[in-house]
Amino acid sequence: MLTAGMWKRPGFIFSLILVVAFLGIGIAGSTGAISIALVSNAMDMMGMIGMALAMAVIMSYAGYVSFGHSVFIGVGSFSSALVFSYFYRDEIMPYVLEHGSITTGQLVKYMVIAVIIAAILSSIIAGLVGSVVLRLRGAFFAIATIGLNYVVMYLVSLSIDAFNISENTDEILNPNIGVSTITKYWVYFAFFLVSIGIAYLVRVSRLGYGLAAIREDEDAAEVLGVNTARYKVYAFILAAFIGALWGTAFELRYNHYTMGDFSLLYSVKMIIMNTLGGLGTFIGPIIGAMIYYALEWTLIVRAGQLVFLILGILVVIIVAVFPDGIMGLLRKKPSLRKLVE
Amino acid sequence: MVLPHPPLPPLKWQVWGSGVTWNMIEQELISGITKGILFGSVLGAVSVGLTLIWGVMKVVNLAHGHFVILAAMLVAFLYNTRHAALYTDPIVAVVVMGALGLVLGAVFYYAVLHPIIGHVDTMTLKYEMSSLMAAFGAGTAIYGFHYFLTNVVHVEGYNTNIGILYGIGKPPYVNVGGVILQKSMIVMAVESFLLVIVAFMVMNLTGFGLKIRAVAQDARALSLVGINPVRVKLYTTILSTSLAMAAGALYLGYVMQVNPGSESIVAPLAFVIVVVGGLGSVMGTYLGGVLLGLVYQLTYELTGQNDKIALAVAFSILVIALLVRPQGVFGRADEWFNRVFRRGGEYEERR
Repeated sequence: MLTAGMWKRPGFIFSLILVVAFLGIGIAGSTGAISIALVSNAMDMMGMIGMALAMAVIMSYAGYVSFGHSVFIGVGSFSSALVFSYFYRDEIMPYVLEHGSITTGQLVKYMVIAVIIAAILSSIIAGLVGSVVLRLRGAFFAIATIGLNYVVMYLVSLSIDAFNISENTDEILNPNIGVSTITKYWVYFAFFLVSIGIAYLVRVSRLGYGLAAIREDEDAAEVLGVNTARYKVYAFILAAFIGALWGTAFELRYNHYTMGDFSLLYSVKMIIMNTLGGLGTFIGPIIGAMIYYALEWTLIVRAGQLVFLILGILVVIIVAVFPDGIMGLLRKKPSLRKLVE
Repeated sequence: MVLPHPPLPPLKWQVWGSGVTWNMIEQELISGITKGILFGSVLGAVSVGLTLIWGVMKVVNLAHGHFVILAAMLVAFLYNTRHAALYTDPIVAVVVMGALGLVLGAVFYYAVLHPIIGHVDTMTLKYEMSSLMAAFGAGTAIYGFHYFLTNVVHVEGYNTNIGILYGIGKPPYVNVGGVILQKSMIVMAVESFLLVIVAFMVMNLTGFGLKIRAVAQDARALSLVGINPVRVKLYTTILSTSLAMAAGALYLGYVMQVNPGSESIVAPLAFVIVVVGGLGSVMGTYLGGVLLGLVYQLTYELTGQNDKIALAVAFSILVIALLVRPQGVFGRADEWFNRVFRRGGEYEERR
């Protein structure tokens, strides 16, 4: 399945640098060398990169824009809420009352269960829906996924009433598990490794080349013997899994689950990050995510409520001026072309 | 000794075996159908602009819902800041917003769509997707603009959830077959129908509409006979935006309150309606709107006024419609109307 020389490609080296950098930030954070605020920023950036990669598997590799990807964030968040606020609520609350926080072993156990539930749920949704909806192409696929997003969102929101724990029916609050930001950072880091690994392996495997063929010309790919229907569903399921993975992480971090986890805003951010970085590449979405995060953070600090106005204008400019994104700019220069996969 | 059994109540039609009888849901059915048709009429008017720009220019206009809500927010804003006329007369509000839509449509075309049309030579972003992304960016910018309406201009007693009542007669309520409706609901539904009729006449009875439909079929052939397709596309965008903003004023008149987030309900519903009604077909879209309004309102009433289930049902119709009949359920409605109402058939193509 895998191709020769995949360990020497710029994408691998780039992701290795990223992983080492985030490992360094984590170690520095645990020893107290850098402030918690910085650690928190690094967590946000990992989340952004993870979301961008979730979308990249279907959008950047296969050329299908899924506006319904926030569904998988929401589903992941839902399964995490299920574990913390429903299955193990009675175990967590007395333990935390007595010891102050749950142990690392417990946290790992809960997260593994949450991720397994999230993987099952997201695979079912992506497999069922994908095998049907992925027959549509281009804009019709995008519109159908918007519809899918709302269908799942309203159906799952009915389940919030079924939890019947919280007074406020709009959200579910996790019980206090008392773990520190640093511990959560390591959870994020593990998820970051998993998602960057999946995204890179998909890119360099046979599946990735099949998806690239689908992106360039789906009919031609089918004639040449690429099983397009199956490849697209595989890619959609993997993309959904990465999204759901980060959904569980966000729920752990912010300790509550709301309808807002299904907000189209997540899809929107993922699409902006992918377009900014450049479609058709592995590095592109990551660079797009880093730039987008820096931009958004600056905007929120400096301009607060004007974020949407500025981001919207930015998208218009990107699409009109350099629709290939940053990777497209690099590709035009022969000397820098080697950096682009 | 066996006591005589008390007489049983007369048997009624049982619904779902749940002890709910016909009499109990009769009221809800009547209410659902009445309000469904009225709401569907407004939704149809909201979607007509989208069917033009999507069907004719192949621009998947994700900004459409934002234009609708922008108009609604502006009317509500003017109402809150006591700029009379707009709220005393719904016709004035619709006309003013339609006129504003003409200007904004031109801005939208030149700033967002024109740079893309004919200039995207990339192997990754197809024209359709890039226009979708650009329109999406424009919509996000409009969404961000609401900040100025809600937060920057400070008005006493102004909030984002604005109640508004057009001053139509007194009392403002009317009883139709046991269903209590606001008069403004009926007025807005009728006005929506008139707006759609205007759009239909522009599209089907004028030379301008003929040009627009010609662009939809083959823009290059149109340029061969000496008509500039770019100009026609500009006019289509202007017409579409104007219809969207006029419909926004109607939408506000119907639902009475609006906030920037309402877009997330209006826009997907508009897409459902256009897909159900058929791309580029004005009357088909209107009928699709009425159908969807009925489905939404009936589900809403029968599930004990549960908004979430109603919306989930409405959006699953979108996915089903896309898969089963992408050309639309009423894709041929315009032709039928043409056959009935149009004189002759000089340029009607027959396949």
